[in-house]
Amino acid sequence: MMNCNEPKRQHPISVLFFIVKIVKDMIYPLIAFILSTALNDGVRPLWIWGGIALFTAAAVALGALSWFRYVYRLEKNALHVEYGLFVRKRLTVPRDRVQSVDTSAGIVQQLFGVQKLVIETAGSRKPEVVMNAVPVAEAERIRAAMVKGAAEAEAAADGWTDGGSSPELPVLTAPANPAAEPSSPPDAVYRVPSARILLYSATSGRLFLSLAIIGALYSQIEDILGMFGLFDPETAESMLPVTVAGWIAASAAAVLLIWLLGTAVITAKEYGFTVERRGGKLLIRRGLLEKKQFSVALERIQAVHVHQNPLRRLFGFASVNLVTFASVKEDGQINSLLCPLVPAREVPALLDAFVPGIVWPDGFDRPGREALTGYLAFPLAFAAIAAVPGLIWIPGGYGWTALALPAAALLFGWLRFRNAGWHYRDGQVAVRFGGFNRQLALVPRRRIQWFRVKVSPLQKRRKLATLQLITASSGFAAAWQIRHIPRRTAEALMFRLRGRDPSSPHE
Amino acid sequence: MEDLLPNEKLDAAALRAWRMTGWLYAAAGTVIVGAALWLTIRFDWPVWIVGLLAVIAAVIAVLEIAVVPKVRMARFRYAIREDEIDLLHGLVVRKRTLIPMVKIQHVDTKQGPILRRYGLLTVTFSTAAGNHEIPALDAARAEEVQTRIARLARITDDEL
Repeated sequence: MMNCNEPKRQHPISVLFFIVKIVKDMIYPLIAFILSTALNDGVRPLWIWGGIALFTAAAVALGALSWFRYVYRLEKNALHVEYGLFVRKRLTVPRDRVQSVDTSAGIVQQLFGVQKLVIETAGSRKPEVVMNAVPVAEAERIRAAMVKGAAEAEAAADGWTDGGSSPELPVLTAPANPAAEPSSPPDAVYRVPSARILLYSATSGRLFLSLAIIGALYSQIEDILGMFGLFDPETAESMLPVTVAGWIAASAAAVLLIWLLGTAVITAKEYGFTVERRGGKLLIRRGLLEKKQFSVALERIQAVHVHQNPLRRLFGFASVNLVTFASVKEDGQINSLLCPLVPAREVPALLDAFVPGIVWPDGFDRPGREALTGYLAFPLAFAAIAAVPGLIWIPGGYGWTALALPAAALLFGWLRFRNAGWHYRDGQVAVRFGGFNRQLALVPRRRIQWFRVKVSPLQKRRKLATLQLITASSGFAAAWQIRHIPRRTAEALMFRLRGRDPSSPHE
Repeated sequence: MEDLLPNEKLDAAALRAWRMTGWLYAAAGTVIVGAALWLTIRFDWPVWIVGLLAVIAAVIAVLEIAVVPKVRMARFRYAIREDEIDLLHGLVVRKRTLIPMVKIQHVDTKQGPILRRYGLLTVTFSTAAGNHEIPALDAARAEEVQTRIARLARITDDEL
């Protein structure tokens, strides 16, 4: 490891990314300059072209200088980075603070055989280090050095089980030498079959999101085209269907098209999803066009989140997510996949192989009937109020259709009641929740940042309470709630979560 | 099982500080209602706008001066134990929040102009998933609480 400590630079192609960043930072003054020059009548073309040439030259020079100034040095337990054009900055990222290391390769990176490397740490909302072009081997070296791994595997596994009973790990003969690691066989590998990725994409419910985006884009396009006289409303209108059947067919076709598009995009993103565990670290690879790698130490995982939307539940599948500091919540889903889609009954085995120490609940405690009111009252009340204007103002005797709202709310509340469940075992809480989407969170006790028992006035009369467990993540507060359970139960559970020994039996 | 509820109270001066804040709200409300009244007279606005504003301002003022400070004072309790901070709070929904000492990353004090006038400080402490506070302690007590939390949080091996 002689050359380990030598200061290094990124691959020269990263100059390109530095230039892009400089142009991005300069975009507003640049636009102002161009507009003011272009709108000024007496200006000679030479000025404009000269200005553009000057700016380009400056951007290239500054980009090259940025690249030259961006120096990193990898030490045993830390990464040192020095950068900055005018203000020089020095950054030290200790390995102990690293939450995850992410590499990806877009088109440009793939052309030059480099990778984009992103290091996230605890306590900062945005990535600590972003390097746009690092040679693959170098990225691997940084990853190996910065993610707590094989050497600490046993400590990590211990940590997961709260130092208590050690789970039967499949094989934990991880090599002691981290440098030899990539060549050694992983402890567990799981590759999601392509057919299942396709099913995942097709059932991903992001259809409605893409619908909204496309709708928004479309209205923009119409405006822009109209501005240049390229869009003639008359022709467009003549192309619109005239009959109701025509409208239905057209919108069905549009929905189908968007769905296919969305499916293709998500398939490309998740294609070849492979998760690998080597000792105490996970490596997740995916992507067809843009290849991404994400690695995280097991001991950085805050919770496991199992999600089933109605369609996937119908097919008997679930998706499994990891709640880490790099987790982002999008469309109500947590986007740190451990596995996009896995048969629901295989989830325990999957977790056992990849997140050893997580305990699958062997049953669930359920809220009693007295909780039902709590689950139904609020959604029903809101929906009923929302339905009133519909009842009054929907024309043509169709006012009653507004009643679908309270009916849906009733169903939603009832499903939430049905799905609600919790279980405490071996220092870990399992919380099952959700309405149309059934979700399960597995939260180790020692990962809980803080917790809270809430009693609303309505709950007070029924002697009920809600227990809230908060774990850490980067983009959102991961709050897991066990709602409307008997107050005594909530307090007893909290007592155990605080590490107090419930020696005397309650009740 | 024996579960001790937190029993330490906030400083009595907090009541006056919060009421002061309530009076400031009332003053701001009066200004807004006054402006609306002027607009109503000047531009023939419908009367219900100023009426509604006046009612809202009056309700907020009464709540913030007479009700909220008292209830808040009566409800808020805290305890700083070896391994956790225990807070009892909440006006309508009663909450009991427990923050394990090992999860606390920073502890700070802050003081706005009103609290300063009454010699009070707010102790805030943060975890990797959000902040909590003990509002309105007198300066000496706040200092004591801050050092105690800092000491207890540091001696344990913090790991995220």
